[in-house]
Amino acid sequence: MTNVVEVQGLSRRFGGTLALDGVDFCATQGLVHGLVGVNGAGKTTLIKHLLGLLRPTSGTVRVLGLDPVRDPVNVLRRVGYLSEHREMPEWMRVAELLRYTQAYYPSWDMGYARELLDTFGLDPTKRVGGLSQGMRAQTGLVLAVAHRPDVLILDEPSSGLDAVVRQDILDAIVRTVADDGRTVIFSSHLLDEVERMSDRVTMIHRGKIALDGMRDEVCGAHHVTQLRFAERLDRLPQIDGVLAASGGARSWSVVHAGPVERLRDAAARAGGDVSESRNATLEEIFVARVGRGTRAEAA
Amino acid sequence: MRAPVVAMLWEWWRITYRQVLFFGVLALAGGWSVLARTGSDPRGAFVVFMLIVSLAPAGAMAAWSRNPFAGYPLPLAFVRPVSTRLLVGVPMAYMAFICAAIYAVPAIVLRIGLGAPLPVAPVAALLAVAMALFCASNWFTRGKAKRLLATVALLIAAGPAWRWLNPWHGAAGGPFPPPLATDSVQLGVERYAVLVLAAVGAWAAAVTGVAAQRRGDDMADNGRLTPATPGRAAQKGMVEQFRVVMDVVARVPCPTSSPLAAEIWIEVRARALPVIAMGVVLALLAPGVLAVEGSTGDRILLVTFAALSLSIPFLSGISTSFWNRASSMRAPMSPFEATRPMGTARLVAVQVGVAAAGIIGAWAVIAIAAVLSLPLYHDGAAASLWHALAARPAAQVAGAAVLGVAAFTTVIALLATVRAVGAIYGLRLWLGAVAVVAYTIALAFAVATQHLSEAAIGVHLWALAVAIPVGTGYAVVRVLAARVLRAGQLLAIAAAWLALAGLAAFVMGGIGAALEPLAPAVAVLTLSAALLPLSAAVAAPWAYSRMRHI
Repeated sequence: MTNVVEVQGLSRRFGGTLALDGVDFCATQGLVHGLVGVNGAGKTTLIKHLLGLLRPTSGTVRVLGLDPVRDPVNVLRRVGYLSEHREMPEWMRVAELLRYTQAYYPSWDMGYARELLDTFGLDPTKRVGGLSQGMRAQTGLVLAVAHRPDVLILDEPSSGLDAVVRQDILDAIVRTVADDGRTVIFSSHLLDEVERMSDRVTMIHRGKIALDGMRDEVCGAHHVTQLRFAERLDRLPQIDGVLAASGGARSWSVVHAGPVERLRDAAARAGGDVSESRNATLEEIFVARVGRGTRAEAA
Repeated sequence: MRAPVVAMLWEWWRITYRQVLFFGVLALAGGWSVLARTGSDPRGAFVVFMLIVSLAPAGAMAAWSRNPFAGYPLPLAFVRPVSTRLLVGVPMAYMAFICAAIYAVPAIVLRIGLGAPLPVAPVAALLAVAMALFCASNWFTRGKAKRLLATVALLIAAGPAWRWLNPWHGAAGGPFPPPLATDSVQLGVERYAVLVLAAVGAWAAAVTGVAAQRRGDDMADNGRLTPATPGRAAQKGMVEQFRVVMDVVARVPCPTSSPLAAEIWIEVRARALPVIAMGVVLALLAPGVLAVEGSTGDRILLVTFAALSLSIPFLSGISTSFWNRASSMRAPMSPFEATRPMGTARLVAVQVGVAAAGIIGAWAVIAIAAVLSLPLYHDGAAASLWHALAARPAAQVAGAAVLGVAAFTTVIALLATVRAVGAIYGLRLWLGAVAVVAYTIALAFAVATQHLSEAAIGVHLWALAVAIPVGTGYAVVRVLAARVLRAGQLLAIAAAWLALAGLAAFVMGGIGAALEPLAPAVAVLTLSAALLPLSAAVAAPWAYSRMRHI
């Protein structure tokens, strides 16, 4: 499979702040890529580089084989984008907005756009300024997908939305991918959503890629394991692969990377044993790797 | 900071202190510099008095000028456990106090330091109450029309109120400016009492209105309390009001044939048509103004109308097209705009072209109305105008008109460039601009007072003459390197510029203008300035590209 997005050594500095630090990122055709990270981690900055809205301080960005800063027209024509703040001209009516956007995209499918409007129950005569948050998101989504883009980029598409609108957005992602193997890149705080929708997960933390891989491999490589020790422990001993630990005394729960057998051996050396183990959820991995008081950096 | 009042005062100080300090220092420095020249002349003191009096309300109003909310300026404070009486009273008292302080502090310093006979207490009291009334007229409702009416009513009432208060006890009649003394402005006890009553009335009216806003009975014109998107004000500006009107009057469907047509459509709909609509409103006033002027002949109304006719379309057009565009990342280009699949050069060309067309269109409408109304002003006025135009060859007149449009579009493009560069470099650019302006003023002053030799003047002219082509060359290299313009586009721009240059030579030749009589430096600078349309045509796309891919 080919990479539609290739980012190599991308760094971006805003004054004294290093927002992205040597980021390498690839998006493969036909997959859904989930970007996760805490607020300010660098997700939106990375997305803005993919759209050519930001110029790299160093490193390269290629979208569909093109540099989005030097060749914005040919990149943007094949990309659909829904921004976090869903900026649209307040004075325009929804129908006008559709016609206006249609003019930019030779591949615009007005039938598909109308079908989506009907599905969402959007009134095309309504002004954008009079739309609710959810309606704005739905309108923005129609604008982002109706030209059937090769790459659909959604920046926090679920932010501040109710469950119904969130489902609309997830359906659109599914339809986009089902549609001739197009690619979706979306950032989200809702990790269950990312876990459910993504084929590949990229975790950004403090401007660096903390974790990148296929979702099943990532989840399969991390476990939540219960450890029991013969003696009461004030602190869990240093065990390789443990990213985070909770509990106390004789019973501890750890999130760790790597096979359970390795952890069992390490625990045995410290006088403990594995009582039970399961695959970690993305949220548990995320909290273990980027949350407070974790051992991720040591691991 | 346990007490809510202290916390509220701190909040207001944090919001306003820059403007308060700026205007306070300006008043003090301006007053000091004038008094240093005029010495003990009491007329000089009057000039200083007028300067500080005008800076005080300007400073207080500037302090909240960037507030995006209609009505009460801090509606997010409605959720705080504080009574509406306090919510209104504390900021109103604060605004009244800073207005009085911007006057009183410099006045006291100048009085002690230089012995200037500036009255303090009565003037500070008048300014404080005026500010409280102004706050009330702007805070009591979110409705723009009601606020405007209240402000106009206040201004109308100010005349009779001033006559009744009769605070001026200085010299009357005689030459202007009159001498000033510390007792030139006086208020009796009963006058002070009335001022206190007026302030209390303003507070009570504002409390009533703000209470309605707090419980949701008074929404903004667009039904929103808070800005809908970052960088966007909740209250509708003048341009937006006209945009709504034009949406009803002239709603043309967006063409879908090409991105260029769609881009022109959105710029015309959103920015040019509202400005032209303003021109139409001003044009409707033209017959009345000329008729009144024809009968009175004092010219004040005519001059005011002409100034408004020139400034309103220009300022509205510039602000709506460049300065007040929905912004993101500190740049006046939202992601909605920046992610359109259209080249930056085309995008900026459409924006500049439509902005210029809108302003020129508004002026043209006003001019046509004025010309048609000329018989109301003076019987022979229209005929003299036609004679003056007919005396010139038609080709010359048409050529001059084309050059005028090109020159104006160049100005708009340069302003757009400045706006974009300002968005990129922020404070550094504005500090640089302030330095350049200060240097230019100092230079002009030195020339006017003959402190600069001809050689030094020549050096400056030569430097400017060289800077324009060098800057243009730099911009050309940058746009080609960044592929913002292709070589073919650049050649087309150069060809258009050559055609304009030829036209300029033809028109100049027609009126007998020549470079030979000019000093070499002036002649070279004139030729260099002719490059400006070319400079603007490459600098604007380059600056916009930098802003788009910031």
